[in-house]
Amino acid sequence: MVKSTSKDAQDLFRSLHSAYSATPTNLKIIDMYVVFAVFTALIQVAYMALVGSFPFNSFLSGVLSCVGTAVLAVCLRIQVNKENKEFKDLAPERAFADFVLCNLVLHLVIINFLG
Amino acid sequence: MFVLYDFRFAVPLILSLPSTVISVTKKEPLKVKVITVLGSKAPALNVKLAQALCSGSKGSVINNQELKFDADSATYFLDSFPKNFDVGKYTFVFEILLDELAHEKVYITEAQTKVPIAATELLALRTQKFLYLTVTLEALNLRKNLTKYGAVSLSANHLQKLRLPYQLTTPLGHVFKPHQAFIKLKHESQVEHVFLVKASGKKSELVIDFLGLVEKLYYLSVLLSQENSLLSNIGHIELDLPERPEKAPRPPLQPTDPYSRYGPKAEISHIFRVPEKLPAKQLSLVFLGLIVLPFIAFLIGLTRLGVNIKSFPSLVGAATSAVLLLY
Repeated sequence: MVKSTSKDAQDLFRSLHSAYSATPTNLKIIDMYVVFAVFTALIQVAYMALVGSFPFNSFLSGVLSCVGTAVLAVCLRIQVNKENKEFKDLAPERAFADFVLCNLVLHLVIINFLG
Repeated sequence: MFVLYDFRFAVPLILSLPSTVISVTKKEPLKVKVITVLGSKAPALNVKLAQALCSGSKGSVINNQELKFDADSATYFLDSFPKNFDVGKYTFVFEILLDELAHEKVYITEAQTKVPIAATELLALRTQKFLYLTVTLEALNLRKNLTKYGAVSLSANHLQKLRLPYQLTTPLGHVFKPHQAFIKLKHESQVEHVFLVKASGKKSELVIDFLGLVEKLYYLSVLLSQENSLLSNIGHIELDLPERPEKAPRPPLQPTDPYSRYGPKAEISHIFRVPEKLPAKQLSLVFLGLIVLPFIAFLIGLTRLGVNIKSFPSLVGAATSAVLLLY
């Protein structure tokens, strides 16, 4: 049974990988950006766990910037994805401009809250 | 002819003493005045000191001494005291004898007038000072025979005790025991501490333990309290005491000089908050490196995808300024 499950896991992984390769490049860039933001957030949480949360506002602003930008990137991906029927009429440039603007506002707040 | 004065009652005579304290060594006489109740002069009479009873001893010191009359001041005085008339509390018993027999109907006196008299004198204070350490039993004897102007200089630190035995003697040489005795320690800043001495037997002594006191430079003076009080500065102690801990009681505040209101005020001492504990510098640097890693991984992933990176600014200065311009 174990062997079959591991084989199943490998098969699953391979099928996922082949399906993912089919996605367009711009979506892959956005995915990588999201992964980068999440990792940065995780490293910040690990540092706070080690050192203690004395300037709590600094910790919050750091984690929030990562999570916020990840969320905005996910929104961008939804809007840019051609397979998504809901946003058919929205130009991808417009979505990207929204992404940039929202990121700017987010980072303005973050920089002020950093302390 | 009428007798204008026909006394139906007798006029009392009053014997009074202007001062009831006599000095043993000073040759001042003891003065006694006799007047009538209304204040007029008394007739010719004799005042006799029947007895002088000392409070301590049983017998009488003076017996049946006649007082001489001084016509100028109209007082009777006793100027010769016996040799063993010592310091202490006495009760003098006076008797008045009228010269003329006829006056006995006119004037009336008390059979015996008892007057308490205090005989005082400057007492000699003889102290024997011993200063010894509590750890070793070395004793430093400083025997000084002090008069009231003598002063002894000592130095001590806070581990030592001062034992102060003293003895009071009257001019005749007897040992005198006062009612109460105090030792007053006066600091140079006018702060005083008073210690009560236990008087037991002939030699009285006081042990002062310096461990409890946290000030420097004391003066020692002895205060005795009874009929005659004696305050003499017997010495000067220089105390080397350690720094007082934070919670030690401070000496009572002395009244401030009202004219110093416009002078410089006391310096304010600030207490600052203890700064927060910060993490180790190396740890922070390690994590700084760790944070940069995902970004580098992102860039590497981009190149692996084969994105068009030709439009990225290649110069470092241009890149950072493009990013920072937004802020």
